[in-house]
Amino acid sequence: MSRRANSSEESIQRDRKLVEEVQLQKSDAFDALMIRYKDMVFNLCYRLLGDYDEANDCAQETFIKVYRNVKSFKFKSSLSTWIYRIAVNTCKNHLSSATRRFQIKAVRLGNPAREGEPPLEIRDVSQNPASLFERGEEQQAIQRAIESLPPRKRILVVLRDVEGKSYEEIARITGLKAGTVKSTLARAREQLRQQLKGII
Amino acid sequence: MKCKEIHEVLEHYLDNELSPEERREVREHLKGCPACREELASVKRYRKAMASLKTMPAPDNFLESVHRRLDRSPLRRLLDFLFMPVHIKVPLEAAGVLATVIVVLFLFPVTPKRDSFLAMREKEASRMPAEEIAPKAPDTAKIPLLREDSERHMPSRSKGDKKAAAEEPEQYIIALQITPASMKTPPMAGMDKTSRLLGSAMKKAEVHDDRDISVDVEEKDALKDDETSSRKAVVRPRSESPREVNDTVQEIKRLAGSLEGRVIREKYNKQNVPDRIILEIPTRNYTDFMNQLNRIGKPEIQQTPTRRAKRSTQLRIDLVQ
Repeated sequence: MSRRANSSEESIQRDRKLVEEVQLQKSDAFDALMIRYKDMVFNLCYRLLGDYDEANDCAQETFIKVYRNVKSFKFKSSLSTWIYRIAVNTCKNHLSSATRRFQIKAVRLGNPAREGEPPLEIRDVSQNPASLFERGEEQQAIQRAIESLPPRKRILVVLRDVEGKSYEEIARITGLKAGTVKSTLARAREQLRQQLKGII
Repeated sequence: MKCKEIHEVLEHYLDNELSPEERREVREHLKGCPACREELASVKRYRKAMASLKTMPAPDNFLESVHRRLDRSPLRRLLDFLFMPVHIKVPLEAAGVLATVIVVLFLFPVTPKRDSFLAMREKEASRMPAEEIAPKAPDTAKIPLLREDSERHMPSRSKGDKKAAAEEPEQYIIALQITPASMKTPPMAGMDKTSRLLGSAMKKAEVHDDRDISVDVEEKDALKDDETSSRKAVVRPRSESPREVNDTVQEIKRLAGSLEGRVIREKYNKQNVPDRIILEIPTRNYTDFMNQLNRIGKPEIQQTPTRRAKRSTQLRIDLVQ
């Protein structure tokens, strides 16, 4: 417990130093910040969007926003929470954009898993680098099931069950109340388990 | 605890978020309930599956890509935002513009302007030889054009002309020939033949349009019989009585009032008879006003304003007897 607390404290100090260096426009400071968080941000974007190129675009957009706004960062939350918040909002905007809806080359099954929920979409992922990475059928099925969730549920499931964030941190990232996070997450999990019956 | 309640707290049970008492209750229930044990196993499988998702690493050139985007000029960023990808955004934007145009046209339909129509009529009339002009046409075509239309047909003014125009009064100046009372009203039943013939002859001589030219055969024959006297009557200059002039002024005022206009000023001559009246009427009612004025007397436009008034138009009517 003490070792974890020390590790967390070290991480916070390291983030603080990085941010101060970026704010002072020290060379390579921003690169160091990106190297530290790029995989975390990219993975989050990929799990939320389910598309490699879109995830790349949103992850880049996230770091551009970080670069432009880092001067106003006052350490009211941890750096990782702040970056997560930017990434989640960027993906949320992207998910709700008309362009994305137009771009999705999906076959709608017209047979939603539950009334009122969007139907399951099957994407053409044969040329997607991510499909080469995720060769396991189970992994792909889980990813498709996550994508079939509405944005809010999807964000909560990814943050909690994939990224392993605490309810409090999720509340800070999403701006939702902890109670709302828990109840929405319970419904999202139930929906996912129903969809993945027979696969997991 | 019932099965439904157990299902609701299973997640919290696995996260160690229940009180010792609640944990004991759940444990006791699970021992005797195979369905809830299966539900717990399902939740555990779900968690394991989600945790097994591999972390997707960012592409190798991620840093360079971010730097490239940061170095882009603001204009390039704006263009990218507006038009990229071209095959998706441009058709969408074109559809949006088209929809906007349709909505605007629906809300503000384009109708040909009445004044423009009158200008066209006048232009056509000016091209035709005088004898070919239909007698009825001048009724509306005679009406002077509002500034915006007359300007279209006029060559551009020189500097000197512009200066002169600036000095011109911003109003229409109209000379109104007062029509005698006998011309305005139909002949009375008890009127003698000479008076009726005189009235008809004067009407024919003075009124150029054919609205009231409906002299019957009997009158024409009678005119032939008494040609000399009627000709003398037509050419003889008449001077209207102050009462008739006053009546005309009252009619003009009533007309202006009915078309939302107002009298600005009246001027009287030495005999205390009105000889000038200045009015203001809404520009949109100008054409109607001039049409109605044709019935009161014979208007002749002396001068038009240099600029087109947006809301109201001023008219100076000089009464000519």
